[in-house]
Amino acid sequence: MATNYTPAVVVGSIATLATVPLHRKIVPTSIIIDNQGVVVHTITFRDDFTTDAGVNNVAAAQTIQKCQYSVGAGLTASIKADELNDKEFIGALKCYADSADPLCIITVDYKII
Amino acid sequence: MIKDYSPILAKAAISIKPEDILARKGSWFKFSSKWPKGSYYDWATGGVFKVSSDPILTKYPISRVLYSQDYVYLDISNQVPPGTVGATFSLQMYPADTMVIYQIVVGMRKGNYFVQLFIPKSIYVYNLGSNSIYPDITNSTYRYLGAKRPEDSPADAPLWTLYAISQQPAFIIAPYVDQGINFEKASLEFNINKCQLTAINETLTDANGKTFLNPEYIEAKEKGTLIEYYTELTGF
Repeated sequence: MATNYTPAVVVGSIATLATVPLHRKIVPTSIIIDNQGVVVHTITFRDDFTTDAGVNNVAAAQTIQKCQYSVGAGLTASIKADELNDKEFIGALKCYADSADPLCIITVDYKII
Repeated sequence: MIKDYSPILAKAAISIKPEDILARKGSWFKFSSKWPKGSYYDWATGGVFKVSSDPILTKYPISRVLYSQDYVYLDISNQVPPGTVGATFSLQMYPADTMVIYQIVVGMRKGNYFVQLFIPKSIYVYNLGSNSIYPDITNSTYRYLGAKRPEDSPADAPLWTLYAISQQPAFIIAPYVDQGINFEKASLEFNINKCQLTAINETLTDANGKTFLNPEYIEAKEKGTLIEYYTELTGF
């Protein structure tokens, strides 16, 4: 199980938490958002990847929003594995916040499947 | 040319060993007489062989990220080398030399997709006797006919084996992302068991110059893994 954490970064400054191996997927097993800042933060997780050319579609870059959590000031949100089981990432596990805040820390555990 | 094992074997880990599925030194193969004579297959047609040395197992994973209800053709032969201008190159999984057979065990990682198999393209392996229906990947009903899903041959316990020799018609595998998901990564694990072959002579000569039937040939011809020509896989 791998772990990665990052301070919350502002929209437009995306943090890459994990790059998915070419022939595998990533499933988060735990997300902890510790917001010791003074404002509510909304954290968005997304999957960035490029499709291959198929018979019906050309190759194209894709950005898929997977989940979003809002955490109040001074609070910690903890999302466990049973809520994350179906959230597979196939390209890169990335996150960003509504505003940058070094006091809002995001920690993600994940498994490679 | 193709061997399928029941998915129940994937759960029988205690009593099934890899060598029960993988060929090893001394394993026997016999080729159907339908392999064309006077061609690349002269060395094989109707012949009986044994694996002459310990095989080498080479993994070769292939993945494609596709839209829902999209598919791609994966040619696993050597017909179109990488770098061929203006063409999608084939995956080069076949042997380059004669007297070699590759046992290609195909596993699939979990996902909402299935695969169809052709040899060569447009000749369906898993069709039925009727001419009225066939595994049509463009048809919403018949694309599921004969399709293999990841649970039929999981990547960690693959049960689906293809056999290939040099210059053989191309196996084409087409992963198709099913409805219910916007995008999917179809990941196939090809476990290529590379086997060098030596021919088993039908007769032997004793010290007195008298020829007699080779007992190993008789047994190998009866028990060896049969490698059919692709035309024998369809039409029934």
